[in-house]
Amino acid sequence: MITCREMVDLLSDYVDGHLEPTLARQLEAHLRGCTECTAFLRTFKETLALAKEAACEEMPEELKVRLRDFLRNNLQRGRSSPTT
Amino acid sequence: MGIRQSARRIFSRLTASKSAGAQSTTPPPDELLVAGLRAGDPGAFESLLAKYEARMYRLALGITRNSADAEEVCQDVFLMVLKSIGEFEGKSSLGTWIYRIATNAALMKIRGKARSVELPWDEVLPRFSQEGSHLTPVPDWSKDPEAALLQTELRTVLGQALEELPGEYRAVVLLRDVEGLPTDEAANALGLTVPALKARLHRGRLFLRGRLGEYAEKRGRLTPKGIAE
Repeated sequence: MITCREMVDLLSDYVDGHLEPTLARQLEAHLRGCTECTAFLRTFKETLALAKEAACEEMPEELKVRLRDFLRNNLQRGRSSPTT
Repeated sequence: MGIRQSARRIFSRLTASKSAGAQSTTPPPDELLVAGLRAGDPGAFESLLAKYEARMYRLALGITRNSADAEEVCQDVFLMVLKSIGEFEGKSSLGTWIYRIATNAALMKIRGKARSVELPWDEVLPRFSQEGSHLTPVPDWSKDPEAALLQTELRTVLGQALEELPGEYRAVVLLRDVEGLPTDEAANALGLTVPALKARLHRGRLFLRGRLGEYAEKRGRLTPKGIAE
């Protein structure tokens, strides 16, 4: 039987699907009997979901235009250019 | 010169027939993209940007936390990719190679700007008894259908917590949890071993979770079952 500390240590591997099946089953057995670790797992997964949302910023269109201008100008100064 | 023209013709023909046939913007495979870039094909240049510019901007912004810095990183990254595409050996995927260049450029950008304050790990990492049990109750502040406002606030808190993380940890979390790179590719992009990447990722995730938990608790909206109004 694994402890809460071990459960927390294994959590990333577990949610990433990297835990070997035997260990995963032991972790799940622990979760069934531990409300604290169940809450920990739920909030851990929620953190990953929020991280994905919080860091998903769109690239502004004007920045895309400036990037192309920058690259074309720089490459034209060089020996080869990808411009049309 | 003949080879360049030939590669350019092949790239243009293949990408044109792809878009005409499928009426989609499916990007060309990496090998074709690399051949086109080496040949100086304008279509390959556009395909490269279409496929990677938004991802690199998101990553650069996530690491630098500053839009002007992220723009400069993008410029540096794509200039370097275009100039050194001839040196790309194909040992990793093109995407991993570009992610590596972008991560290094973004980390270089914040080097020197970063505070040298030690993170308060002890405040946010879970504490256990000698027997390995949780020392304090673990409130469940995870998704609740009536807690849309708290979710919005938590996203803001998470942004701040990401900013608080050292760049090396932030880069790992961004590559794995935002960009969705597999562990081995993220490790490759960062020049880390897989165990080192996993350790850093886990610690970073625990830190973020800890900061969110602190906020939810301070807000005083917690009940044993979740979040109460």
